[in-house]
Amino acid sequence: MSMNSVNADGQPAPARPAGEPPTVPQGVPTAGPPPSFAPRHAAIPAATQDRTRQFTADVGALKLRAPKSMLDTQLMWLGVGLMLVGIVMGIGAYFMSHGTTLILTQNDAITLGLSAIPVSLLGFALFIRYSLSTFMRFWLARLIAAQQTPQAAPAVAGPGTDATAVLPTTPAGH
Amino acid sequence: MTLNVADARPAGPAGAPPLLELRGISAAYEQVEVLHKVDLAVPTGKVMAVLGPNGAGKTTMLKVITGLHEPTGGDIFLAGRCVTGAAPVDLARIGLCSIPEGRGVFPNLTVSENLWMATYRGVSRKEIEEKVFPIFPRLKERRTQAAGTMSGGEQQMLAVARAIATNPAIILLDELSMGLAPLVVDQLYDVVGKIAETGVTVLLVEQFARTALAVADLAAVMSGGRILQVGTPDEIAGDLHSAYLGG
Repeated sequence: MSMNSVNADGQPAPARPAGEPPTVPQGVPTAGPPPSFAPRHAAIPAATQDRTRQFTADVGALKLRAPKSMLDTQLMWLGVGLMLVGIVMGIGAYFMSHGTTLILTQNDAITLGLSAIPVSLLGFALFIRYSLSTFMRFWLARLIAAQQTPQAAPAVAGPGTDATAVLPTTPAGH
Repeated sequence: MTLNVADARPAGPAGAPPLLELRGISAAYEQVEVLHKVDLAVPTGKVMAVLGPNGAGKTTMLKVITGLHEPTGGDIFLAGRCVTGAAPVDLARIGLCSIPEGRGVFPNLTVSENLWMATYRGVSRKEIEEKVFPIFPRLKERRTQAAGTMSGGEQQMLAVARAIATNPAIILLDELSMGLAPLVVDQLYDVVGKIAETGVTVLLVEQFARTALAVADLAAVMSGGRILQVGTPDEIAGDLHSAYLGG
């Protein structure tokens, strides 16, 4: 691959030393004598040693979660299942109580109907924990990313708006 | 040029393990592997510059370290403990601070509000401002200005300031010089040098070698997803041409 470039006079431009920012104008002396890259410091300040000790302790106390496994997915579906079971139990209890005149059976139906509530709540909690929390995390990350990108033109321009007047802008310095 | 793994693991002070160490890290985007068994160690309190051309895998390596990208192989060690698979939020909370490529400031928030984001580590707003504004007086002048309306250099200052405010143990710097004038880059690297003098461990990734080598204690050259060479800045500076262009 040819690396040659040409200056304004049509002459080959001098090669830029590796590592030199390309924004330095050609011809401007930048290198001078070869720089020496001596080690900056040998001793570590005491405050840093404290910080490092604290960091080491924090790393030691870090609770590492196991990689997301099939269990998470299974628990999410268990939550969905329990929600459905709760609903079915409630409906079943309704028909059970209305299908008989026996007080004892109706009492059983009431018990069944009341039991459906915690079952559904448990299912809902599992579903939230293992599905929507992930979704919400992604939603938050997306929101932050959207905030960090330059604003695009509005999707719907009002009547009489010049569409070219609302072109995306680039922040200063980019 | 091949890497001797022993070279990639410089000893920490008093035989302590490196504060940050990668062992055989591989990473891929879908089926394309971009990091191939990367070994790298950053001793406590040192500045390591990882240099390499575009597409060398430098940014991916930083993403793997911060937990934003899951490695397909290998392990990451912090202070001698394997933390592979740790959540990015947990790593940030303990003091692994990353300044991403493209600054990562919140453009709609003011300078002060951006700095206040660092309060997640329990530092008060006042402490943050007392710590940061003496280093970056320009930010003090612009404390009520929206970050998105500042110049690229000022936004990068803000990103560095926010990192300092978190009292980090390790700072990962991705392409500090990207899109900035050489003069601004020099100013920013002066600040990085001052941060390093306080003993914070810094891993910086840069395409423009000369500026980075001036503040580094150790340097590595990366290309094609591999660490090709690790050494002192002087050693690396001597081999830069062959490292970037081959041969």
